[in-house]
Amino acid sequence: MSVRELGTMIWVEVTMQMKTDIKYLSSTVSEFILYTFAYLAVVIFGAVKGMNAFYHTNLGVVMILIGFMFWNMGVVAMDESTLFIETGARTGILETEIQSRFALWFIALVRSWVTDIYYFVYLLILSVITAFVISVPVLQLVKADVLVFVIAIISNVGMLGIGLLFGAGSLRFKRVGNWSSILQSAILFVANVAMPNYFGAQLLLPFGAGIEITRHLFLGQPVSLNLIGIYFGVNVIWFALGLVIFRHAMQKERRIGSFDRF
Amino acid sequence: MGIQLDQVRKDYGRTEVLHGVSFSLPLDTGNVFGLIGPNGAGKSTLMRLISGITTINGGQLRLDNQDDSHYEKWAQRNSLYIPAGDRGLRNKLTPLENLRYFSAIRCVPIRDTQARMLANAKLFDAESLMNKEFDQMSTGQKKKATLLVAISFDTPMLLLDEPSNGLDMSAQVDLMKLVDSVAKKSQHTIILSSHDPVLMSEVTTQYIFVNEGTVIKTVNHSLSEAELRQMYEQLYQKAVIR
Repeated sequence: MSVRELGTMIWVEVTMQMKTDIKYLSSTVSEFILYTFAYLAVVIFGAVKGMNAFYHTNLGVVMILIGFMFWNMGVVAMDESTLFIETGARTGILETEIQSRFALWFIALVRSWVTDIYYFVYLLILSVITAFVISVPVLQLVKADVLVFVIAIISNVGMLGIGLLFGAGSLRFKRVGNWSSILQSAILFVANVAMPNYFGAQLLLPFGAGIEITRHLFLGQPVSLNLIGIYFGVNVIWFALGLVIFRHAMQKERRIGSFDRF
Repeated sequence: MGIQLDQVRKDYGRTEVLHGVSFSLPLDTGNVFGLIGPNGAGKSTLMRLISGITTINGGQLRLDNQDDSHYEKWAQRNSLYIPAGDRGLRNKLTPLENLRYFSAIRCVPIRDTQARMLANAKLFDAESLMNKEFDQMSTGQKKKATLLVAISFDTPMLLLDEPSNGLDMSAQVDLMKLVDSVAKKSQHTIILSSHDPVLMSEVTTQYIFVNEGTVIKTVNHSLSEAELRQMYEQLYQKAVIR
């Protein structure tokens, strides 16, 4: 496979996924509405005072917004890889995709990048509204958006790994989308999204350390190398785990399954 | 060049569904092979194995006398399996857009596949479908669109699982013309499974009769519709609607 073929594949996937998402506009809009409610919930019930005290700032809401943006982009990446397998198998395109020159996880990764671009725009709008509501300069929140978008590239790979775990599950148990939604909701409330990084286990989630790095960078505070190491390490492990289990599930399905029992 | 299946076994879970299947498929001859058998005989299972989507649990499946491990890679690059039913393309995209997507992931030049698809659409009387979204199509139109996309890849081996299901009578005639033309013009191998005796007698040049996971007979020449019906009745002890 040449670089040109790789470039063509990425470009075609970007354009096709955009066309698909635009045509599923009502579903995309309803997702945005749902996420906005989730955002309001974490801001209302989140530990703003705790954030202020923990990070020595008065921008607790922005700290929550940063956490929420990581969670939002992460669950989108996770959903893309789970649904890519589940929907592909149901609509009969998984067989053709298996016969492609690219690994399935790579196609899912590219698809999740595309979706993340829309969500970046959505989060930008959400940030601008937040800036007006809490009287913070818009540019300051745009800076937070850009930081999240760049740093979340790593955590999205880890979340894709978790999505692949569910994708592996969908090969075996067929529909696992609801379980994935339950996990995503649970993560929102136990992770350091709406609260500071109170306990170390929160850093075991793909975006846990990413949220901390971004909060510190946003506030101009130093970031320890240890935290950066944890961020990369955790995501490499989640991605590798997802990939190994997904590949095992695929091999098993190819060996004793048929891909058509949906 | 050809494919050899030697005592091939396949399991679904703990159930063995193919029990020592052996036959060979010559390639680059423009032959159309017909897989015939009642429901559940193992036709789709065989097609998935041959196209490299699933793997065997016993026996040997190989290209010429090469090692077994080469087959999977070869099959994934040189064959295309189209499942039965009105599935197989991405919803919300037109056949042309689907073709762009599948060409890109198969690393086949998009310009070439697109030119072939437009030419085949004329032959298949399906030009009006080219810009219609897949999920807006009727069952027959979906089938046509899926077939057109598949044929446009010009793969050396094409496996069509019950391609005539859902097609109206004129579309069935168009399908026969299309299959015949693709096989003859490109000298590619087409493997068809179908319960349609007219399609099987009109376009198929060799037959593989399957029953309960085994090959019960192979025929290396074309059969007329009457001969085919008679052979089916003899082999399966079942009456065929005339």
